[in-house]
Amino acid sequence: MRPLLEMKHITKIYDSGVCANDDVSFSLEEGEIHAVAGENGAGKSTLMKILCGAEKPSSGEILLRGQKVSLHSPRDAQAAGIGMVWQHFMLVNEFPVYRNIYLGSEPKNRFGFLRDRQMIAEARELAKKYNMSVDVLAKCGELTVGQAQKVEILKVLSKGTKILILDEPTAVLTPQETDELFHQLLLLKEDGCSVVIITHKLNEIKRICDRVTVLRAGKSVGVYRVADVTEEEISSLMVGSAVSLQTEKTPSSPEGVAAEVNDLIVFGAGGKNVVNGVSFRVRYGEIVCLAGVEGNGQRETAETLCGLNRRYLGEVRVCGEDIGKRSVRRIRDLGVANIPEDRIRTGCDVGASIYDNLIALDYERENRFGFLKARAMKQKCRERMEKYSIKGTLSQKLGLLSGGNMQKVVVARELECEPSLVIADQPTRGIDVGAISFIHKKLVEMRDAGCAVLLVSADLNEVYDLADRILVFHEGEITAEIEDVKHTSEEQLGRYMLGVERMVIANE
Amino acid sequence: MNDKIKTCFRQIPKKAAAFLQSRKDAFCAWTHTQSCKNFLFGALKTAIAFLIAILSSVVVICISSDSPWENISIFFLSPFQDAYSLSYVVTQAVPLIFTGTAVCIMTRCGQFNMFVEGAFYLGAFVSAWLAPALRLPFFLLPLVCMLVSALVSGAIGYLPAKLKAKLSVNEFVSSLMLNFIVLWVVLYLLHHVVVSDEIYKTPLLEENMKLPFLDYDNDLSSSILFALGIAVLGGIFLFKTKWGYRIRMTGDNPAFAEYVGIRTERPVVYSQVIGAGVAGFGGAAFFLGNYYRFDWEALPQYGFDGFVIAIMANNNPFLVPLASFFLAYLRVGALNMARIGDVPNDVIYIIQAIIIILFGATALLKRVKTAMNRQKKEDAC
Repeated sequence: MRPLLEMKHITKIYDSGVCANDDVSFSLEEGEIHAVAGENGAGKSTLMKILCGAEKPSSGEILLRGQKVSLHSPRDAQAAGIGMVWQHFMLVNEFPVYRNIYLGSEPKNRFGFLRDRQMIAEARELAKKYNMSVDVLAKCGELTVGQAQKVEILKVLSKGTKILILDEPTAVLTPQETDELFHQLLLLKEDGCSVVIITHKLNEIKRICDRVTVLRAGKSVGVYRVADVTEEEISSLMVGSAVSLQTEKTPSSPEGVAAEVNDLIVFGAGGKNVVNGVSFRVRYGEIVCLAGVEGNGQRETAETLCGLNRRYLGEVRVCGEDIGKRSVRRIRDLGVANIPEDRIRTGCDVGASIYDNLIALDYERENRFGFLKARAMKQKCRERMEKYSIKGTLSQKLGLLSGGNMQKVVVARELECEPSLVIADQPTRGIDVGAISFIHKKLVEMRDAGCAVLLVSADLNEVYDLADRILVFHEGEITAEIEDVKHTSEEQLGRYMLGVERMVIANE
Repeated sequence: MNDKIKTCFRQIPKKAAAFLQSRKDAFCAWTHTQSCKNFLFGALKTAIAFLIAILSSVVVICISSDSPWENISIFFLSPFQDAYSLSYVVTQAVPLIFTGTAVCIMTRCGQFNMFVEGAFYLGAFVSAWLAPALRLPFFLLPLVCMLVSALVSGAIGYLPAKLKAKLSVNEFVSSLMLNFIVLWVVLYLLHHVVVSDEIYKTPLLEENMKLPFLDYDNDLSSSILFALGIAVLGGIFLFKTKWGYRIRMTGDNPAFAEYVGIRTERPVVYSQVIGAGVAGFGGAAFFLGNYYRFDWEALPQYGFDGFVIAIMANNNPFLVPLASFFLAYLRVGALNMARIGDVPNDVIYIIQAIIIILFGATALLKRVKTAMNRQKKEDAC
């Protein structure tokens, strides 16, 4: 049987030169639920954006029922029966549900007025048909997240969609809402719809999907029948086999306490606890890795330690001091360096020069009566650029650098301020291998110099290469503390990361 | 001893040559970098924007005039015709330099504060009111007046700034409305409180209360020196001090600023207070330079011109004088054209509007830029 939809040899290179999809092929059969799995930045979203007409592929073709189609805009995709529910809802909060469902394609009478009554009736019928209980007269701003998602799905279905794409649909849902959603998706499947789910949650793939396409670093790693593979196998496909970069390092000799966290609870955006009663210590001279599937509270923990998140309960001590009321600067003054997860959004100022980016921590000291000591700092920056082999000139705009060089600027700034605690959140994401091994070496050097390193990573290679001790996070809790890193198998680690197994952690 | 000096002198040409060579090498290296490409691209874009603006003004003149060539020559040449016209260009540039610098300081922090207008007006009024009342020696008096004006304007500028930082009140709206509060309060004071020999006017300033003229016959005041000084100081403040650094980082990427430990609400406040202060200082300097009594019944619009200047100068105070002289030159030309020729003064607003649109048009010459970047992209993959 010919598949309903085929994407053949899709390659997408963005204007910035980032290669998001590299010769990816994807096929979807009628009436199946197909998962697209992969780490963040693996290219899942780009692939689906191409499918729904939001992005144009650089090369490759799309076949729908064997016919070649070209999708230049979301409207084209809609006409072809392809609809997408974005992770971040696109609803007008001030409008009632029925208006949102027909947004952009409202039925109008001869004079251009909206036919509200017709819309209400049709919306009710639609909701009933797909068995989604939602009050069509309520304002969207007053709905819960789960209900808002239903509205999004109805919006897409109202346009006669046969291929429904969901971008990480369960990221914001409670377990009950997730159950409900899955039930509805199964109903849709029976109805003849094909569903694509973008996700990195393995248990969900296992639960409702028929097949899974795994992407890694912009390439397709394969298509599998979900029944034939285990969660562990999918996970190792996503993360990649242990092609270790083999950073050389000696056993650690930790001493003292650099950071101490007791019963930390961090509140997320929806009031949900993203970190739920976590306690741990980081000692000088060791690399502690917070491992886990992304979005399980590691990032929030790291941010709290740097003072960037004030919505927390519990005690956080850094270099012997409670960070309670200290500002970010005071915490940094204690000797905390922070390599953030998102270098473009928080890690640097892409509009400013390399020089301005490099001095962000020095300028407070390197000035006389407020006037910057430009000559001294320029000299310093030149040395740093050489030491970290950053290509470019001081006055060059940072945004023009490649991802790897940009990250090296961030790392140079953070590690050259003589920190005693380095918090590195995904320091090597999306950069080239040379820069990765350079940054790994640098982190080990820092450790050997007696610095405490707290590494957040979802990349198992990185975890195995660098960690002296691993704390595994799952749903805001620590499921395991692994001292003996080299003798723990990936499978075992995977089970902790998925929360399938839990290590009994003795209270310190 | 003599020999030493001689050898020293002999080495000078050698050293100079070596220095020039090193500069030349650095320049040659620079020409191959991306930043050079960007610089050239920016220069090209600026030139094209000006060219289109001027060409369209020529077109407008041709349409609206009976003797277009005569008017065009008046428009472009009359500002240079004599010393008085030149000095008039300079005088017109003075308020633009002040308000342009003020706007640069605020927009660099991401703040679109319209109080520059009210601050300029208030500064002029405060100095006009204060000057006759003070008994101070010559030259100290205008200086004190200008500083007091700056302080008063800065203090009032604190209101929208603090509201923005504390309660996220949109500074654009609140400062725009504050302008009218200031206008009506000043008019009230002018009509009911200020005591003067003439109604609705401040007392006449004597020559020794004013900023001295550089050229009395041509009305060229020393306020231009203060204006240039402020532009340079503004540039130094933004690019060479820690406060300026904080302002720029906060304006470019607040998340980054927070993350490196800048308390962003502070630069948000002091950039606006300083901007308002600079505008108030400018109002006072302009007033004490070229006026004898204050009778402005409406906002003078110089503050809004400041935004035009800031756009032209790419928010860089060092470039503000250049942009101001250029705009003042066009304005004087247009004014003369209206006076001598038969084209209304309003042609200047057409040029101004076109310049703003073209400078704001980031997509201008996008194709050229894409072609320039294509090579880079191919290298990347």
